[in-house]
Amino acid sequence: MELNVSELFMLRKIYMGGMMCPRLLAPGAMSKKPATQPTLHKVIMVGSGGVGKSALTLQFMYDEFVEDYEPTKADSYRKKVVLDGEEVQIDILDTAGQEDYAAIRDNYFRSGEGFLCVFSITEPESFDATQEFREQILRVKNDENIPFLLVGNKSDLGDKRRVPLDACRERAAAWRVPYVETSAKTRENVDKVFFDLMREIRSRKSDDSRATNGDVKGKRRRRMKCAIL
Amino acid sequence: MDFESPDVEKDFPGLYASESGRKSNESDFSDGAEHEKPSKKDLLGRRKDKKEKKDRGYAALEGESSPEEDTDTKSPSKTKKTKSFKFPTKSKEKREKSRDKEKVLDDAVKQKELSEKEKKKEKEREKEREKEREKEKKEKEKKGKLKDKDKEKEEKAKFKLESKEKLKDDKKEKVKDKEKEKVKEKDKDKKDKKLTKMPSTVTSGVPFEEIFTLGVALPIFGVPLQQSVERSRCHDDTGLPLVVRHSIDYLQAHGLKCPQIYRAEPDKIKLQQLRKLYTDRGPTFPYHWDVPVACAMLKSFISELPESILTQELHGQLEQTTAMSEPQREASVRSILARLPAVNHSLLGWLVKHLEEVLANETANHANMSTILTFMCPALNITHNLLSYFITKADKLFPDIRLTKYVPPLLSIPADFPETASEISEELRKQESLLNQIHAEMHAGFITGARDQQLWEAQRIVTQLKRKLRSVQKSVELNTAPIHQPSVEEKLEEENARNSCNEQSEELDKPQLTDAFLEVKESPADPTFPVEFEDNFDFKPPETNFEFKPEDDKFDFKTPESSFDFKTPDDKFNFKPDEDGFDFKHEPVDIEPESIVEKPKFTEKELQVLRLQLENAEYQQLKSLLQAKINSEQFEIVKLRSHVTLKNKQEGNTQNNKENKDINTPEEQELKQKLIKENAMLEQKRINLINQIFQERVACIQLKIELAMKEILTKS
Repeated sequence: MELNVSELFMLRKIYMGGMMCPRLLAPGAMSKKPATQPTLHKVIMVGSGGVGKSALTLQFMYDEFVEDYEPTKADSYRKKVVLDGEEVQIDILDTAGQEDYAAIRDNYFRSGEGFLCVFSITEPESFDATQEFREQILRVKNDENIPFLLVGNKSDLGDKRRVPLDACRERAAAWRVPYVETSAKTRENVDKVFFDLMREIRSRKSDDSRATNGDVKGKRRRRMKCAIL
Repeated sequence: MDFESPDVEKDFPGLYASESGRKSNESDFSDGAEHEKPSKKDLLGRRKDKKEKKDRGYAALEGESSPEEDTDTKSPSKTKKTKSFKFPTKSKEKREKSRDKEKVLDDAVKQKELSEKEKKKEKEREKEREKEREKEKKEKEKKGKLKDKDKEKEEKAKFKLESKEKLKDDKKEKVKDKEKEKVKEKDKDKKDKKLTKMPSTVTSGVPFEEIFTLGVALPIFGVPLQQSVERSRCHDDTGLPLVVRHSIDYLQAHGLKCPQIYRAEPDKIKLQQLRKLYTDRGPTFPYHWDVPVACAMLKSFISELPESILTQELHGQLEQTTAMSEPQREASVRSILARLPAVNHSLLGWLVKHLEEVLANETANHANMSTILTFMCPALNITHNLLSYFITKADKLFPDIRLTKYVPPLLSIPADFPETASEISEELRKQESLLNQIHAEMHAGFITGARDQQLWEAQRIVTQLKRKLRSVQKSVELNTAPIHQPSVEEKLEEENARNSCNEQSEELDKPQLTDAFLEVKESPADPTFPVEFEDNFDFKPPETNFEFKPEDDKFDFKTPESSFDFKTPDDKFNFKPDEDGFDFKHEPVDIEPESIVEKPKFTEKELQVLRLQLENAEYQQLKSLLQAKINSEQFEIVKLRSHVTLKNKQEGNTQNNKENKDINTPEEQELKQKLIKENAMLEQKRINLINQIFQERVACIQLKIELAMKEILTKS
């Protein structure tokens, strides 16, 4: 009897001690929100090689346009921006278009909160490939409504256009995602795609927290998806 | 431990059912012949019972066992003596209750889909059970009853089915479940404690659960050296396991003059804790270390290697060289050592070099050759002669090994990050090595939020380093021919030193400069490589007086001196890409208080940078403080666990008289319920408290920063 009671107390200690650590360590859970750290949105660029994912990213990050093509393996950027009056941070992960790096890509997809699926309007193959990327993302995230934008890049090369606008719109409608045409060169719509996506992520997050009334539950649910898929 | 079983049974009626089933088999077995057949029937019967709720004839047997009886079953006579029909009544009733529940629920089971949350829970429970079973299995093996093992496998398969069904049922009881969750967590903890062989870690939190499995699934002690290095390596090019490197680093820094080195006995608890930290890939802090512990870590890592550090093949050959006379011996030892795998060579070389240094400090540390040999030879499993030969010839045998302190990959790029291409590419290599390790761990299935975050951060640093490297290389390309590289680097370093003191304000005013550098193709990492020169390079430094600019096109590589003027470098070389200064607001920045104080006046941006630097320092401090607390708490957990196991053992001896326990059960139950409720409340309070503490900490930091800012401003 005595033993049991003392044991229970000990258990409580252990239990509490155990809960203490992960909570303090857990990224974003405890340590960040109270610390006035702006909200972080994680955006992932996907699409075939050479469609301009890096160009869009660099244009957004540093207002620069890189002419030289150099395949990306993976690059990640962080920027503070003001989204509708609120200061937020955006993490952009620029992934490899090439299949060689598909294994690495998977690790990132899992933690992405929103996706910009980029193709080149001058390259029908890249447009076809978006289907595959979409499927891969849905597979990893297991969520039809994941914030997602279909982006037709290189709109400055209108004369070389080989993917009809209607086809793009049709696909976007089928997926129920927005379609935007951009030009990394002229900076047309570059900010728009990133900001639109962040808005979607933000509204998604607030939905989530409302739906799951309590972050522990929401967290578990999300994590679990990853574990299974 | 027994007191918990009723609850556990409520939650998992399948759990003890299978156990008790096995138990009953055991007693059958101890009774003698034909134990196998009836038990199988039993199992089948029970399974049916699960689904259809038929006869309960064996239920009496069921109740007799609880996990504690594992020890009892070792002596068959005892088992017989215990009154198996008297005390099951209690738990029998409980079983009935749970069955009744089940019966009601069974019908509805199929209509409902398993919610994901439930699945998750299920997995966790499954895991726990898996461990439990493993332990039981081991015990069985000890008894040498191999047949039982087979049976158990059958059982397990059935058990899995059963438990899944049960869990589906559980979903109906969601509300109840939630209440019970905390109890379960505790139960889990309890079970964990039994697993004394496993590194005990807290399993109730996400990252710790993950670390637990990572440490178990991919251990670093007692595995081949190559594996250990892959799993936990130094991210520079030494190819040493992290634990070895840290031990040697520590001894080099603190042990050379210490008389305890390779002599004193380590604190066992400290050693165990440190070892666990390495197994779990956790961070270590100075207070984890002392000289005897470092010695013991080094020794235990080496002695646990499954193969000789010299490899089986070469070990014999090396020992044979003992017979040779001097000049030949050295040559042949060297040639044999050259054939060692790189990781072995590196580990041996570092160890020998380190031992040599210990010996060189003999006057201070009183560790002579024989002390070292006595300590190390058993671990290395080589003869005294050979090791002493290695140590005396260390310089000749391992000429290219230098003992350098390990600098781990940066967690973020400080604003004053070195600007030289070689330093950047060195850091880049480390970061990429780290990145590879993270990817490898993730591919091995260890995916958590923490690791995700780590991955993104490492990736971001790699990206930044690449950009920096490109810009630096481009600027170097512009200003000098490759031959001239070293001198430019020297100058750059000088400048940087000065820049950080004097020129910061100027720097801050022209961030565009760096952008101009960034439109650059990546050039070879090594600055001594011939770099290609781009004539069409569009470089327009804003308000800098960049003297060589007009000469870009006709730049003569062979006579670089003519076009250079290093006399006033401060104004001319200013490559510091300071766009980074603003990206790192909440990440570590090394502050240089002197330079800050020295600054004569402050621009708006400077103030901002200063503030951020202060903030960073504060957060860094807070971080390490919290980390230290976490570690000490972990330590306490380990201690408490061992304490509890000890108690359990003692309890186990007295628990043969179970009736006493059962009589107390209602009271006990009540008390337990009370405690559980109280615990839930305390938990809630604790969470609130943590929140408060955090907010207050942040406020404190802000105030501190304000204070420091004011101080600095008034000083200047």
